[in-house]
Amino acid sequence: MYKWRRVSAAGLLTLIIVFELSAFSLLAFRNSTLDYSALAFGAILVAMLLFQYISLTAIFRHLDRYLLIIANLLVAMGLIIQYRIEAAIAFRQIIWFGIGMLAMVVCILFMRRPNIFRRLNLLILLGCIGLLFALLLVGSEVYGARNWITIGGQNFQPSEFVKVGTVFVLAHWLTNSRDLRGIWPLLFYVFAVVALLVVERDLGAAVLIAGTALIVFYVATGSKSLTLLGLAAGSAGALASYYIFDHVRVRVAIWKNPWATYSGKGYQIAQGLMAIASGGLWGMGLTRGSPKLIPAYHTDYIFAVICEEFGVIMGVCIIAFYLVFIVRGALVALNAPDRFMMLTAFGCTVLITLQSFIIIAGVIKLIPLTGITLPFVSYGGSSIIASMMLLGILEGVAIQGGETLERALKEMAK
Amino acid sequence: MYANAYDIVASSMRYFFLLLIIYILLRLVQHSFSEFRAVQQIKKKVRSVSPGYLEALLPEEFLGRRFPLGRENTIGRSKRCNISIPLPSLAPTHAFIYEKKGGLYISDYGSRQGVLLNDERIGRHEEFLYTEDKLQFGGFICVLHLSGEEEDDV
Amino acid sequence: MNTRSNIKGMLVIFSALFIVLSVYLVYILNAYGTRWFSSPYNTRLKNQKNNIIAGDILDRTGRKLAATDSAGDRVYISDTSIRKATSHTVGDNYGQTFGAENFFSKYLLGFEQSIFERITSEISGKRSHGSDVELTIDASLCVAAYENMGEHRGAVIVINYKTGEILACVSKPVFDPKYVADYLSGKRELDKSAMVNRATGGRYTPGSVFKLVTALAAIRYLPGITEREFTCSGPLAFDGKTGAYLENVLLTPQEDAEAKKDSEPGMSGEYRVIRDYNGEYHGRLNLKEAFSKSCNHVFAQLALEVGEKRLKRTAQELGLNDDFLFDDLVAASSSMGHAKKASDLAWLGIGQHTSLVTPLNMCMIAGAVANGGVMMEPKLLLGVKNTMGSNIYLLQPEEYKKSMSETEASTLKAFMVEAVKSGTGRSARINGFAVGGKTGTAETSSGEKEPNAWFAGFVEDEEHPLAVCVVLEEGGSGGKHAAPVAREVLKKAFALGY
Repeated sequence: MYKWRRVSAAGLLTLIIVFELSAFSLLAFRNSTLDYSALAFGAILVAMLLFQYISLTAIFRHLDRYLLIIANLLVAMGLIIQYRIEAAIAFRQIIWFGIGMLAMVVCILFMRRPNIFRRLNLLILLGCIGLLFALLLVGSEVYGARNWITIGGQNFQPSEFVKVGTVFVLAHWLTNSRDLRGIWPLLFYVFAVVALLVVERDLGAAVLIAGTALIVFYVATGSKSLTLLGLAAGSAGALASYYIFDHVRVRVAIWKNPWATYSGKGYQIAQGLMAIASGGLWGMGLTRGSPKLIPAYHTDYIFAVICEEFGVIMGVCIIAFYLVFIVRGALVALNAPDRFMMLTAFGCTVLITLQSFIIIAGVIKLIPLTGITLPFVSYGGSSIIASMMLLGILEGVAIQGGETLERALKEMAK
Repeated sequence: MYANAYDIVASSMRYFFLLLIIYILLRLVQHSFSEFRAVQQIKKKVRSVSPGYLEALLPEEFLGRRFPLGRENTIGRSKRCNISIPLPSLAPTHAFIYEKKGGLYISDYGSRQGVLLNDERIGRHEEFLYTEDKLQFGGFICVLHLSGEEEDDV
Repeated sequence: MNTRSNIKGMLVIFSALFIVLSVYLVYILNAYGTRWFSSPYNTRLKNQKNNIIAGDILDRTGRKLAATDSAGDRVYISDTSIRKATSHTVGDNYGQTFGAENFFSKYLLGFEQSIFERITSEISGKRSHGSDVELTIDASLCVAAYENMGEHRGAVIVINYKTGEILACVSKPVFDPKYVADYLSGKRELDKSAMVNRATGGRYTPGSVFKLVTALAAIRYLPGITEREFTCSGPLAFDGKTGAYLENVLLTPQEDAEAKKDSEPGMSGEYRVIRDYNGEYHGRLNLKEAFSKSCNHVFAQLALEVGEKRLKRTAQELGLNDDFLFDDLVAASSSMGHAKKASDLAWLGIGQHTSLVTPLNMCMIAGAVANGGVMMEPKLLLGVKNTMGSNIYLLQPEEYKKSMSETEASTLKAFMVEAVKSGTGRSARINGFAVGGKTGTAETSSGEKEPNAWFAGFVEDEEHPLAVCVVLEEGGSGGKHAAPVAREVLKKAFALGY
């Protein structure tokens, strides 16, 4: 008789806590006077991780522990780097992380009743478009992209939440219909969202959503010809934007040779490359680099800072962690109890994949840089909450899948 | 003096960090893989007993009745079929549902009415089945539920 | 229509993407890491300089070219002529030039030191000290080269073609590393583009030295070419408008001289022409004689016969268009131009038109000819000694590429030796040594300035495996002005025992 047994990942969590605590102790002794707040910060983070892991695994037996562990490790890594750069940033981020954990639990609970999302689908669809449209009118511009909105003194980046909404919209429309006629609202939605994002100059998010939509569409319908058509349309759009928008041309020119415009537009990417080169394979050692030389060091460019201080080997490890996360995410999708949940889980996985790929490849100059955050690691309230929501959705589906399988096992035993 | 000593500690710690992270990564991959195998085994076990069942929707008199599926099933009017549905709109042997490479497939046995999968007629070739797929054989309509992948209808 | 297997398929693609990502990350670190790290823009180096006593830079005879004094300031050798002659190779302390100070900063600033070393230096209570770097250059040879160049701007580079060691590398005008702060603040005047190392970073029109490339292409692709007899009867004529080669138009020197008077430069009446230097004509001659006399007529014709594609492939194998990112130094890349019409190709064949070549590249080519076709990677770093006096790096000669076969190399070698024995390079002759070489006189702008003088050559001698390249800006004829400089530098090298 087969018994359901979930392997505990507590050992891995312990190792992560060791890593995190030793890093914060190192940070605490940075100056000749002991920095108690670093130790306190490390202790708070440990408490949060332990509480989160113990309570979640106690409540949800079928939680995918490894997804949670990887996310925790990435968040811890991000917080270490942020604390090392500026303590105040890390304190803000840990609050956002707490809120993100709540959002994750809410998502897990909602995924027990996935029909709620299906009924509210039109609302989500219109809400996302409305949000982006509102951004055009009241948004504020940061780094040349009009993608921030200020509510009650807090800045939000609605495109992060539009990503999450997109996952549900895609899954809903692709669950039922398998031909183009049935999904015209979806096509309209994707087109509208991408167009709005391009107008707001949030190219990273536009590429992300267009790519996710295309991949999920291909997976759900299996239609190679339509996917290639979509890909061609996307490439045509990208090519057109290259000729229409100045900033796209500038991005490509910088990508080709960042050193030519070092003192101007190429500064960021050149600094990032020098940071990676200075770190070498083994890194300069935590606190021994100069991360502040790179613009956007705590958001988009955090990967370069990790490479500088922890070394390129660590960079490769981070990439490997994302890969494991993605594989686990895809497994969750494969074990999902129904088609809607399968597509939802896969959509989340694709979002994380593309987002981490686009920004890491941009930083290391494999592709032109588009400014998006590194999921779980980068500083940013909206970013981490959205990432935690995606994790929550994945966990929700994993729990459902596990419970269904366990029920079938019980029925067999009868 | 203090700054230099700290510098040395910081630069030696990087090896510790790297080793730790690589160890975590390897353990993670190893755990993850063994868990994946365990789940696969459970799924295989569940499937080996029965891939699932068909739940009738139409006509009215069959509504809600469940027809358990084996590894190979014939569906038709004839008594000799594994799943025998005495309706005149079905051919004596209407369709095949069978397991292959861990998945469930359907193919038409050459009936005049044909087989509709999610309201679309399947052609001459086999089609892969998902849980929740709607199947129609003549006047008989049913939904497929795969083991271990039932929708939570609590 | 199988979602599950599609998901599995996408997963494979995603994994491939992420593997590409990690491989690329390691690759760029390997290929460009040192270059980016030692970039003058990298302010991290400056920060490190405050924490550590940078190591010394020595030449191969042990002379301290740069050191750090007790106050922590960088001091350069007190001998002014050495300081100036080696200024580009040693570099500066302000990240203004690509020299040893930058290329080897990871050693000088102790980035490569092991934990053990750091702890020992810590216990001994000293401020941590970077490693000492020993260069392959000999300062006295650099000074000799510098003095022999006279008033001309330009570059001289001497390489041991068997090991790739750079023995001398001089670029003029020079700067004085002692006064870089003053240059930056404007207190002292600096000659125009004096910070550029012309030997590795100067891209010059090659002129006739490019005939080495054309000759190799001809030997390689035109069988029996060494036996063929050519006639150099007058200028080579092309259609004035389309640039097409007019095989049947034969201009005699007299006709040309007549038409030349009231034509634009490079034209003769209605024709576009390629003439020889000073309007000489060589009559009947074979390839070896054409090479040694540097006959434009013959080589322009050869370029047309070989074709642009094969000429370009040959140039590529000799290192043109390569990114010169060597382990020890980063040099500008040479490039062969692109021909739109036949006359362009003919000009390319004799090194005019749009090709640009660095002296380093030309020296490597001459070295490859002498070394049986094997081009060695140029080396600047002889060794690195850490604070405890043990060598943590020692030069290992590396083959850069095999650029020609041994027979091709020996044919070219004979050509070059002939050119020095009885051809244009006669002034490079040294009694008792088999010197080979090719001169060049590169027109830069339509006759307003003196042409650049080139000489690229080698010594065919087991004991003295030297390749040399001299470029004198506005120096005039290569044979008259560059070749004697090469001769004097080689003589000095022999005297020093290289």
